[in-house]
Amino acid sequence: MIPFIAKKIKNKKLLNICLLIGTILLAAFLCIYPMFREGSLNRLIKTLFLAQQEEEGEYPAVISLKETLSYEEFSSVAETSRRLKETGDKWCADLKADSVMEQQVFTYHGGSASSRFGPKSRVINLGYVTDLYRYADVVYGVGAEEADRSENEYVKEALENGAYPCVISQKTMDDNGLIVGELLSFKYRIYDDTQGMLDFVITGVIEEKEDAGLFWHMRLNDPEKTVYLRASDFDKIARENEIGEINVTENRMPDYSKIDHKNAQDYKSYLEKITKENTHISVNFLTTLTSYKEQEKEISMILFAFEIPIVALLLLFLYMVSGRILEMETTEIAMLKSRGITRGRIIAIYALQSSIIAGIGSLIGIPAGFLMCRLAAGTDGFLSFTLKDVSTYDFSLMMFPFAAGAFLLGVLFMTLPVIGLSKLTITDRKGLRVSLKHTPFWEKYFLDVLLLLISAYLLYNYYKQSTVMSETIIAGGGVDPVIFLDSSLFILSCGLVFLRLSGYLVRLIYRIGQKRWKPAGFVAFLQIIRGAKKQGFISVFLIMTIAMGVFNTNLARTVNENTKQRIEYNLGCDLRIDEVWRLITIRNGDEMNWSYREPDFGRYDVLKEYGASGMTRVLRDEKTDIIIGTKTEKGNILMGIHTKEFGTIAKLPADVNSRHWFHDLNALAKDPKGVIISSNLAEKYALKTGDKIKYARYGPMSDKEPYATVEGRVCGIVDAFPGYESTDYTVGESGGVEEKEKYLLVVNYATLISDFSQTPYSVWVSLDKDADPDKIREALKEKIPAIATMRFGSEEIQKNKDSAMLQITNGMFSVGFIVSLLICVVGFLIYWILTIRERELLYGIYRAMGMSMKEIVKMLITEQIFSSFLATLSGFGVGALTTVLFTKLLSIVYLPRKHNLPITIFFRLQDSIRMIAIIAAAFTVCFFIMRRLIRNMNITTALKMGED
Amino acid sequence: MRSRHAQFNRIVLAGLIAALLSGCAKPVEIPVLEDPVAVNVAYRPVEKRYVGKYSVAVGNVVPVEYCHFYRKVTTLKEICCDVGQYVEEGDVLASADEKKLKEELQDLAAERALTVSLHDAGLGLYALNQDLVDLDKKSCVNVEDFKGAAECENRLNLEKENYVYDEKLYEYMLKQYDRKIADISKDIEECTLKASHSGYVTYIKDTSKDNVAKINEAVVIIADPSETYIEVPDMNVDNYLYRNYEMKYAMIGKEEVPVEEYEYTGDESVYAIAQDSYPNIRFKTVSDQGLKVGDSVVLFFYNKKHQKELCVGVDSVNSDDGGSYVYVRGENGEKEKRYFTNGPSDDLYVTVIDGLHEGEEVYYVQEAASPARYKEYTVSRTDYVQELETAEIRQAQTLNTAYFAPCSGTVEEVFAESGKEVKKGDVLMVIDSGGGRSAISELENEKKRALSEFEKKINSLDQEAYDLNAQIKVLTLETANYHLCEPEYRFQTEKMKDQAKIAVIEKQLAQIEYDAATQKYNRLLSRIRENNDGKGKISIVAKDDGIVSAVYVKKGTLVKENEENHLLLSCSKAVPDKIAVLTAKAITLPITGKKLGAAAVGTSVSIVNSKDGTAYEGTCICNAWNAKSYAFTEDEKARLSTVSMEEKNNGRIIVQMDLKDFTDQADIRSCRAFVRTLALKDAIVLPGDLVYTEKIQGGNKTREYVWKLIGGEPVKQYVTIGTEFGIGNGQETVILSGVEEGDLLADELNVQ
Repeated sequence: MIPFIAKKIKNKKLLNICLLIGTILLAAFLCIYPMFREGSLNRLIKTLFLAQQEEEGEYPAVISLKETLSYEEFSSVAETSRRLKETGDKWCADLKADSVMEQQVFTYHGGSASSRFGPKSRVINLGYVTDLYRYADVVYGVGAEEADRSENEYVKEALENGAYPCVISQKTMDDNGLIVGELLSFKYRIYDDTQGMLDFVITGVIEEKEDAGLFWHMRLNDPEKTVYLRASDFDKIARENEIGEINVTENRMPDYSKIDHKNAQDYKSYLEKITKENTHISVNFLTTLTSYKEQEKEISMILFAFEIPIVALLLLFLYMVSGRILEMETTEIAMLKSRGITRGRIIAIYALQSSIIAGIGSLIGIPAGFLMCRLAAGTDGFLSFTLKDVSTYDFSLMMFPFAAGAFLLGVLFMTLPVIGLSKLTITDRKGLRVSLKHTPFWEKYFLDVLLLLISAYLLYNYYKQSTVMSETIIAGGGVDPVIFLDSSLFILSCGLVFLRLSGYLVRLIYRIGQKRWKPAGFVAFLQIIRGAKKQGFISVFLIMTIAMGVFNTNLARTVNENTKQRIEYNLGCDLRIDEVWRLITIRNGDEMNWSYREPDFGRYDVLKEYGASGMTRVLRDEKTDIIIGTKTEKGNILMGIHTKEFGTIAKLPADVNSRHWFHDLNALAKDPKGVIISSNLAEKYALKTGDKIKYARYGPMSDKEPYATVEGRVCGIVDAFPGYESTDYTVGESGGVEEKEKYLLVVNYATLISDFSQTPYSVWVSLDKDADPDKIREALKEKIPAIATMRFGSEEIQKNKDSAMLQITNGMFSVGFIVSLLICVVGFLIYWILTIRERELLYGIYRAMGMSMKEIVKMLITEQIFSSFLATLSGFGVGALTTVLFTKLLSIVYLPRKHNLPITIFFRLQDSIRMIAIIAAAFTVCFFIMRRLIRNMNITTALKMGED
Repeated sequence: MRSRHAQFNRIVLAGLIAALLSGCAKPVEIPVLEDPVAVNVAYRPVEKRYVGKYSVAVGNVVPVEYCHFYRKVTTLKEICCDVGQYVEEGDVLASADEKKLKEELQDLAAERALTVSLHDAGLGLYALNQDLVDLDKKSCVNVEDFKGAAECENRLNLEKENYVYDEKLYEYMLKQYDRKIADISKDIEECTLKASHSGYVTYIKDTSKDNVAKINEAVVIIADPSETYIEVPDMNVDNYLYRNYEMKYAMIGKEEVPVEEYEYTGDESVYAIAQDSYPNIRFKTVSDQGLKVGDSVVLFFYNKKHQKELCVGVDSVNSDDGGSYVYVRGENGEKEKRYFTNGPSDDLYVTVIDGLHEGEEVYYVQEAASPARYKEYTVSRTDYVQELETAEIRQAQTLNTAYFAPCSGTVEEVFAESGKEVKKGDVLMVIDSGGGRSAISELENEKKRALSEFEKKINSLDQEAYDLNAQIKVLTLETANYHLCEPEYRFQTEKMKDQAKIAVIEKQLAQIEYDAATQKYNRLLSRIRENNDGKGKISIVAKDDGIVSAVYVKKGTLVKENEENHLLLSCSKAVPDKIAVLTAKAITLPITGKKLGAAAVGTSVSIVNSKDGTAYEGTCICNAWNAKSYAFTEDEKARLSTVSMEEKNNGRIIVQMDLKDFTDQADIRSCRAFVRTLALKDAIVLPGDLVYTEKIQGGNKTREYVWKLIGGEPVKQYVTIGTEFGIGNGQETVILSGVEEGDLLADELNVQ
């Protein structure tokens, strides 16, 4: 049987190659799912941990055990340290994670210590840190361990008198006015209820080493006002004196880079278990893992939703090609049947043939899927492939089952048409030809219209629920995947409806012109009508491919562009820098006076060497009260700007306000007491230009009473303004998300400072395109060490592009489009090649009848216009329609928050041109191939055949 | 040709596509961004100025004042001068009530005279008594009673000793009387206060409620306008902080004139501090500046000696590891970072030692927004006068007499009425003392009893003398008839003769004592009978002409002698024609709320008739502010005199002016008085809205600035204004330092 099958395959090698391509693509596309999912999840974990590290400024994976031991429970530092280490090691062993670092801190809650040189008494704690001198430098004096080497007279004297040597941090020294040689005396109760004195002499000052790595999770100053002792002294004091409870802390830092999608749940379960069992254990990354688990489901679902249409398309392709092969082999099957070969055996023959092709396809599909996944992971936008790091997307064993699935599906869809044909005998075949004229099932029962109505209803329903959907997404809820499938359903149904309508159209045109046309035209139309069923497949295929391509392009473009715009809008500029300002407070009776001293703004001039084209001060306060009449609106945004600098540096799309925002900036520039307000505020209180409003700010010391209230005059009303988001979301008491309207006031910077005194501002910077954030960061680090945050628009946009959701969208859309385009071209080509070959005899007859080659080509062109071209056109139409109807809805998934920049559908001409070019190129290639086929046709044979 | 055609087609096609893509949309008009009018950054030149901590005070030029006071608590009888009056040295200013002193002197003189009379009259008694004892001795010797003779000898010695003692006691008593009489005579003499210097009376004690001058309490103050000094209100020896400041000067017009303290001596200061009463600090200019009473000067106190040094504002200065730096405006307007060596600094400025040059423009950032729209204002100098309205104005009542209850009793009649004129001697009130009648009766009974006893004594002595003479006669007759020559008889006769002589002397002494007692009773009776109708009713009569200013009791009121609460009434002496007086509550300075007290002597005062707006000019001639004290040296001793506390927290000034325009009390009451609290010559006065205030970082203190136009740009310039020191008001601000005549300032225009 195998040689027979091999021969069969060889005989129709072109079609079988198509099938092979189809199965490879099917397997590859299915294999993308596990690999992309796992890669995305790994990236998500990595992102979440990095975000936590950035936010909290500490190692993002620390398991801490904090115990309080009585002196009876405490044996010694060494013993306790050993026990803590064992506990930490067990955690790591259970988690199968390497321990990156370990820190052990021991402290006694100190008492009031009298000192020799300083104030009479102060509260000081006693502490011990394991490996202290390995991770800390003695910057002055000597360490407690080397107290004997101290040359300080006071130290020597105190040691001779039996004082315990200790070291302190620089901050403890500064804050408490301590010096090396200072003698601290504690009064403690001894076990026998008598009181005793403990003397400690400061032998040195220590500071954390710069290369201490992750060791200083608990900083030297975290246990406040602590003097660090030798272990032996710590033990001795505990042994001999009843000095209260001892706090011991084990901070264990496992290697979080080992956490991935596979073990995240294990980690989470284990950590939940140990924290539940022992309330003294705390884990700083449980929230991160919980957050990951919530997003994991969403990512899987979205990815799945993106897979379905393409997989459906591929299966359709397989079905179509397989159908074409079987169509050609109908006689063969009938003959086999007539010769007594059972139906089952026939099916088995074809199943085996399909299995061979699907098997080869699935095997090749796995590496192809790997490559496609890497390709998808490297996108930064729709069809925008980059060479960025995609190492998190790696080969997955789960690709094999998916490849197996592709194999089964491939076999199924390739074999399915045989089931119907296998029951036909030679006699039945004639009837089959007649039955080709029959109306298809879907057309007969208006399934296309029904599907269209269903998708339309779903669309309507989703729009109706869009607010709830947004809130659910903002609250961290999942996305209904049907929302993505609905668009595919809509495209499919539209394609079918088009098919129906185009059939009507062709028939109508045919009837109108059948008596007037020349033979070529007549034949062409006759061919179109007769081959409608056959051609229907390729038409639907074309429509779906093109429509999905158009829609995906536009959706991806819309999401990418809107996200980019929103990031740029929210940030307001290319770079925003916030510096830590020193707050000076002075107590004046019951009142606490405060002030800020503005750091030298000129230091930022250094940025000009690194591509900054401009910079400005922008004061932003998000706790401003707005007072209109007797009403007070709390918690609004107040911005103080230098209008001209701001206009030059900040970014805002020109058309988001009723007039260009520079008009408002200029109005503000002219009026020192002017205020630009947001339109939502103007609407609520019917404010107009020239009206007066009051606003009040709160100082850093109190948020109860505003420290100043001033009056301003409305000089401009804007819908959008750089950095202003009008809607804020908060988690309500019920746990749901609540919307809160925020209002904006923009005033002159100089006036704001004058009215409210100097408070910290952000520095907004505009950068040249080639400015390097790393270099800028490095330069500023040297010049301005107290920078709190530095936000680069480019980095935030890139970070967003790298986010799992957007990466999936861009990647899957891009790869899906390429796949669909590929099969579309292949399918189209195959269809026409076969059609031409089928009609080789006909062409011979036409030629024999005297039809010129030109007329035949013309005939072919007419056919193309009414089939392929119309379908292509329709594909674009359906794509455009889907874009209009679905883009805004689907964008909610990515941009669920209400924003001053409403979601705008981005339709870029280049995208369409690119697609048209690709399609046109494909068609042109096909057409040339077809033309060549016809030209190379052995006309003599054809004529002869025609004559026969 | 063909390719050209193709190129043309391509251009047309591209144009069409471009038109299709962009031409349909309405172009968005993008306006050119304008510079904001409100900015808070600018450039300021490096310039020379004083840098360092300094304080400012405003002083008034006042005349030197001389206090006149009593050294012991004294009840005033009369003040013989009035405020504004010019008195010559030696003129009587006031006198005390000397009646009691004189009565005391009279009693003492009578007692002394009695003592002398009794002594003189009793001189013969000693010899007679000695003679008697000597006769007893002789008698004893005669009868050979030697023991008795020895006793007699002892008695003789004792008598002799007693006589010597009595004589010494007599001498001592005379001395005592003489000393007391001399003291009282001196007190009587000192009851009269005489002017120690010629000058104008600027203060007299208010005696409307109290006519008792306390120890050292100023009764009259005389000011000599030919001697002046600068006095700073409320700056006294206790709160004066600038003694050790190295640089002190007065800004008189444009001139900085060094000043020094008009020092109190160590004793004066110590004495003042010991008394917890602090005289004001006085200053004098090192050179004569022609200052006159009523002028004001601004005083500056620098803790260190300063010279104007090159400096930049603290709001320009930044620092990093390289040191302090500023941004200097470069030639092309760009900012040039410039390190410089800084020296001492204060809240506003940092001195430049090296690295910057005068006139270089330095960038600064500050909180205040520069004025957006303004017109130019040129600074000029002008005389500045500040007038503050007083709280109250009323007719002067400078010379007052208070009448206190002379005895305990019940008010029977009140003839005095508030506001009514009274003449000296008019009965103002009658008090039924009740006890007066019995006192007279008692005295008269005493007198009678003394007479009766005197008569008894005289009769007894006469009888004794008669008996003795009779016995002497008998003995003389017996001796002659019977020739009794026994020494015993002779001794007996001699003794009787001596005893008869003693009786005569005792009679003389009794007579002297009786006469003295009679005189004493007569004096007491006459004192009780003064203003007493003999029925115990005491009349209070007017001591002087005047107007009853207040009556504090009514018929039936129980009064008690010598109790302060029982002030009966007070009368004021008629106001001299040319003195109108207003009493003001403490003048409170605007903005600061600081109490100035009252205006300095010599200050002009305007009195405006509220009805017709007519203004009348006068001069302050009296400044009575609570508890003002004066320290000085007199008879080489430190003295301290204080002005008695008047109404709490109130001051009183008296203004001399032409009274003819004020017809009655009502006119004065409807007037408003404006005291010229300040008169600065060539001062810089700016409209109030040109001066801005900002809060100093980290505290509640504020500082002021103006926008000075330098190179056409408003530059923030800190100034010292007078408001903190009570100079200026919301409309006008006096600039003490910071801007100069001719400077251009930005006068901000209000934008509606």
